[in-house]
Amino acid sequence: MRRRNAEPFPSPAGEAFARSRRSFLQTLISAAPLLTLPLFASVEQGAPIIQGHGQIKPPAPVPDVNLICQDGSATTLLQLVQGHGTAVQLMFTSCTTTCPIQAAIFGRVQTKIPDMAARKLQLLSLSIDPKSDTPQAMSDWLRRFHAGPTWIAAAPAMADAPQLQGFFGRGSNTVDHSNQVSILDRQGRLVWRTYELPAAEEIVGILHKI
Amino acid sequence: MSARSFLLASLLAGVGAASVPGPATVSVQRGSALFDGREALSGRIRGHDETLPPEVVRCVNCHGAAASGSPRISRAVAPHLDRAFLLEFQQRRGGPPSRYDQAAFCKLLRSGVDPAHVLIAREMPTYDMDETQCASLWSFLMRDEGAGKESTGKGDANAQEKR
Repeated sequence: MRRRNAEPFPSPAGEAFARSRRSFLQTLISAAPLLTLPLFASVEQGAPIIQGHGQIKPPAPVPDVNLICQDGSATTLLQLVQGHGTAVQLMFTSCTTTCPIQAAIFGRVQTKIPDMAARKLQLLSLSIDPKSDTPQAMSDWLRRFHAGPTWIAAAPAMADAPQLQGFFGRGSNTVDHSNQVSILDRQGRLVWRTYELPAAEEIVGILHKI
Repeated sequence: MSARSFLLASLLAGVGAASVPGPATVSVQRGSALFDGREALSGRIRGHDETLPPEVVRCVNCHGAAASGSPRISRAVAPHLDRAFLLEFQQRRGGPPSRYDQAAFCKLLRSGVDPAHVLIAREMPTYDMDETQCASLWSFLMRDEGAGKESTGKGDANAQEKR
């Protein structure tokens, strides 16, 4: 049997390629610390902790900001989510574009998990326009999309809105906000972020694992 | 039924027909109804099994003057659809310069692929739209707004496009 050559690049051209590959890898390794810089820079500026989507490792505690809910009650984000598995979306009630689609997706989720309260699961629509989103506006918005008792809407103080928007997605205004859904565990930590406008089945599947 | 009530019923039926044309017709008027949701469209986000409620996938939600013209919603999020935007050769989504015709427009609505073969943003639903619905919507967007009169049908839309 003919022995296979163990050298991957036996020819002069191959050796040259191998040298350039080694050089490229060395450059990549030396530049690796630089690649992490934008990530840490983002954290310092209150921008997204983790970009993209998927599992968040390690889980990231939510910023414990003050919130006003659709029923007018005052709470904090941590108080609201502790003890529950929570799916969070960013929205504002006067949004005509993607927010109604996001609401329709949450509507599907609550239909697919009829025993959300018993399972201690909940849906949270967080306003990024606290100036306009009064309790009445949020209550009307929830009613418009047939929200049940385990679907809550809440708005932060104006000063805290950018921080929340950064934590749960991207952007710093109503023009460019994330359509992803963030999943919080029962300790109030961000453990998963979906892709943009996920199917209801995706959210249901993740919530069942919380 | 008396002659008077028959006349009233006929008039009401006529008004109804004028506001939302029946199925299988191609007209600017029907395109207008499809655009603003008076005639329901069936749409979904790519990758979703289920269609969304018609009220959340109306064209006007993102492309209408009430949405795009608002200072709160940038036209960069969703362009204001008109003849100039659709017919001008221009770079869209980083692809080579392209323009729409009716076939390209219908392909985008059904598949999410634009005339430069670039996949558009996932936020834009794809629609289960038949030929007459698509032709009507195209006719509506191609109408000559300055003339103050509505053209009718696919033929008119094509004629306008050749100008």
